[in-house]
Amino acid sequence: MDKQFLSRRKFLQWSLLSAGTFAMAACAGVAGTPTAGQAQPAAQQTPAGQTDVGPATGDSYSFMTISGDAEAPIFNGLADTFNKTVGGSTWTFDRIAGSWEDFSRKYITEVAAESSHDVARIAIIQQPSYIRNKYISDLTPYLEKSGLVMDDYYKSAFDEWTVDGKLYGIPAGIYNMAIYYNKSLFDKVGIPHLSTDWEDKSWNLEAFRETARKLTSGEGGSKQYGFATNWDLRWVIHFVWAYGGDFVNAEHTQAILDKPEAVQGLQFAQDLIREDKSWLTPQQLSGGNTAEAFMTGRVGMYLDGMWQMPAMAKITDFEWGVAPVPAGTHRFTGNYVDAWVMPPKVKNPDKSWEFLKFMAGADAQNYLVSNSALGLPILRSVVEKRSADLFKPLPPEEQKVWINAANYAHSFPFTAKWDELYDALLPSWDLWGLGEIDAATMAQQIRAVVDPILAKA
Amino acid sequence: MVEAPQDVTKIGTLIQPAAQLTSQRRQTRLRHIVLHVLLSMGAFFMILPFLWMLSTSLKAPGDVFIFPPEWIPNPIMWSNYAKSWTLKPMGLAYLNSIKISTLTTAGTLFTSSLAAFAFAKLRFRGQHLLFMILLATLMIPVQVTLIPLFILFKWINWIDTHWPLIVPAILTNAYGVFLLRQFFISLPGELGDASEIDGCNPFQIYWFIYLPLSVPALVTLGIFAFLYHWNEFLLPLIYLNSLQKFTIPLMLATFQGAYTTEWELLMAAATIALIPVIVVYIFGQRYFVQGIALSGLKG
Repeated sequence: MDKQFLSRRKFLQWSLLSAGTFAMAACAGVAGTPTAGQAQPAAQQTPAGQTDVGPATGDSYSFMTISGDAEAPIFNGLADTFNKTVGGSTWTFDRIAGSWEDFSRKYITEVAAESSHDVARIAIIQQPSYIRNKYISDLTPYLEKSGLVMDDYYKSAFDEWTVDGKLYGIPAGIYNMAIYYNKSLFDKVGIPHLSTDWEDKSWNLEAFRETARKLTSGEGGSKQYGFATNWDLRWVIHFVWAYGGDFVNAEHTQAILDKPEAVQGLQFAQDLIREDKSWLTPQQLSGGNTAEAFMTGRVGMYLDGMWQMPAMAKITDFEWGVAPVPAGTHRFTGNYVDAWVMPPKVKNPDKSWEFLKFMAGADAQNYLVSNSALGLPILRSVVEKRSADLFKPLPPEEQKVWINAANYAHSFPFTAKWDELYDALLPSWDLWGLGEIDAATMAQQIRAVVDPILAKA
Repeated sequence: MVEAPQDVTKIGTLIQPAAQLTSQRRQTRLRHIVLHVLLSMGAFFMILPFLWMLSTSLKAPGDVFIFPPEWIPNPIMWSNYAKSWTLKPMGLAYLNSIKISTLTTAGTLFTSSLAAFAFAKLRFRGQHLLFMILLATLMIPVQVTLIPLFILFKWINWIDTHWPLIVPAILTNAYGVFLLRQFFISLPGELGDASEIDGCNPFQIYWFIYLPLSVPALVTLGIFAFLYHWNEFLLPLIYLNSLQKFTIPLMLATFQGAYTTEWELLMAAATIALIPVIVVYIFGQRYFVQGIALSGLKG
């Protein structure tokens, strides 16, 4: 029992230790970035490459989004550029840690507490529910007064954020999908490199299937696969679009995955998996990462977005390139456009709009290009002038694959209850992937579970 | 029919229990072997994610999801640890987490033991009702109180400070009160009665008599509280904005970008983040099982 006695000496030792830790931590933490509404210190370099803004001018505002280590300095730089070029107010960037889901928790709490950041970047997947719940402001009145020349912008980008005639966000960049392919493997197998022209109809589904088949070889763990993409409707839907089908109707009231053209697209995917065995599915991947499978040379062609460019740029073991998605009766690439939005009840909407307008302007767009930000700029004039600086290290003709992709953009039909809807469709989707049910049965099952959710949304 | 000699029968009766004993021993040994094999298998599956984390933390960026998986990386990238530590202010996050976890743990132990002592050893009007109300607060999920608390902390200008993570945690640990109350109840009331006769007031009885006898329960609660606050993600996410104020879980989450995740660095940083947790558990484990057993609680 003596050993268990908490002596006064021990108590004092622990107290001193705690107090010491507290003092150390308190001293270490004083160089914090100013928060919204607080005055700014002079320019200083913070850890993780964050650059604080220059001398304070006017009121302080802040914007937030999630970002990786490569993106965070770019957002800080954007704030810095605004403070230098526009002035009148001082903006800082708050980096949110975690996933989009984590970001959403923070954003919604702030909105509910009427204590939002002044501007935020949100993902397109969040847009329908945010509009429905009035978590983002209608920017149309500000846009009408702004004098922005809309002809210079990619219409597809603004269309994504225009709902019922109201604009809810300034597109942060355009993100499309295309085919990454292993040029070294193509050379080895004796297949010519892929066309870079989105108008070239010879690069079609038949050619794609044949190419995937030729690239497939071997067995077991060392098998080489012709094709892979994420086992997710948002990626696989490209085959549905190629046949003229879609996931839900234009009004987002009914699933139309069971229409003949959609089933044809799904059947095409199933044939690659079951008949040709040229598609690396999650089953064969054993929980691995599809992009990594391509990057380690296990896959010949890989469908994914331009956000994979920094990861692909690290490939040193083989030559790789980018090509358009193959054409069917139609040719589309998914349009994934995140946006800068104004939360409701910000402290000064005019100032928030001023920053949003800056983000849509040439200064910000040029800054993003100069700093290798991901995505295609939303201003056509910037894209034209800076095309050589975009999507490095691709050669010029492949840079154009990404640049021209915006002309073939197709919205993915996200809905207000997307998470619920996605969870509901997954069981049938996975059974189809495992070959337990055919494409038509899967489409019918999905419609049965999705339609009631769409009716509620 | 030849009768067996008497002494041989005696020897037989002596040998039989010995043989039975050997057989029983064999059975026990076999049971232990089976049990240990099963436990080892369980332990292996429990430690597998940790081994994966360790292995991934030493891999080159392109080797993380290589197939078939390589458990022993080639080459071994020790530099991932240095890189993950220097790439962002991990040291500051470490200090922030230590500060918050230590203060909340110390505060929780003090306030919870005080309340538990009152509920277990003092008699006052509405005691049971108050205790029931306290227990009922355990059923309120943190998400329910998130927005009202956010508004409150905004009013008192605590957003983007560590106070919202420390003060409520110290004052509102109903689980801790419950755990310690169960322990205090098991201690004889006569100790308090005797101290009272000797002139101790209730606080002195709590401080000098019951608290020193409660080390196993206090250590148990301390480990629970420390681990909980060390790993807490949601509240720091909501209340903190500045990178310099981030705790370890938040800083780990910054390895995840909008589109990509640096897995090898994330795992290296996560391995480093585990060290205090392991140290706390190693130092406290002697009391941990005892505390759980005596308070009648299991995880």
